Amino acid sequence: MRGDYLPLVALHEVFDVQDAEKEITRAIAVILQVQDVRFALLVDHLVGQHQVVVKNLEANYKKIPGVSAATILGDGSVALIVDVFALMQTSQNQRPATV
Amino acid sequence: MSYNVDAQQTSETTGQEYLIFTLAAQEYGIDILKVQEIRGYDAQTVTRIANVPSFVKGVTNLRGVIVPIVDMRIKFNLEKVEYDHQTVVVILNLKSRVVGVVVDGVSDVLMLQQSQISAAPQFGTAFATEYLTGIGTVGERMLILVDIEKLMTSEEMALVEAAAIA
Repeated sequence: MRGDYLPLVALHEVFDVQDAEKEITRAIAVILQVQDVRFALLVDHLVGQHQVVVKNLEANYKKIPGVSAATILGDGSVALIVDVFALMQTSQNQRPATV
Repeated sequence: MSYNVDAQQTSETTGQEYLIFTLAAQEYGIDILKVQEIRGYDAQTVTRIANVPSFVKGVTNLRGVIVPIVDMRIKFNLEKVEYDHQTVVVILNLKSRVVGVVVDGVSDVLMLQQSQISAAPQFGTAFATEYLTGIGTVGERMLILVDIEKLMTSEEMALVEAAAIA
């Protein structure tokens, strides 16, 4: 990206999503920075930006790898909040791809 | 006028109320006090979670609380796992942990006396007898009474972090 190489983390592999967009050129890369490490996340679409109330998953369940917490969206459905730090660690273990 | 309190009679009439539900045509009973509510199962309201056992369907929003939903029929490898209009989710409140359990249906709430409960046999049920509190008999019906709190917090369910139990 602009001459820099960034590791690409395919979220559909991390979360084992069957019907995700696996073709890189048809998906969207979200550039993230965690503690001076920059990497890209491969996603299907961007839905929007929201301020949310963070709900603890461990109160009734337990710690899920890759997920830091959950939130409730406006339509009442539950959205999982991705553990960006854990994804950064995943990205460090991969070969970088050109973005 | 004299009050004659028959202590023997008092202990006979105090029973326990059980919620009776079915799993693969077998009836089970759990302590009604552990049941918070009963809801229909709507697959669209359950958010799938990755990398969890197949019997964990996901989590759902229960009036602002994130509750995990578990399908017992998958956990115990029962043949028919269908989601129809009769499928219900029993929301349990176990030591302030809220969990939802998908069952085939809920039939009634029964008060069982100690005299109607006998010890559980060592075989013939879907899960280990350590989770059973006994077998209830009501007329022709045989009800498998389950210690649902013990079952749900057990390590084989892996619903809770091991350190968090107690």
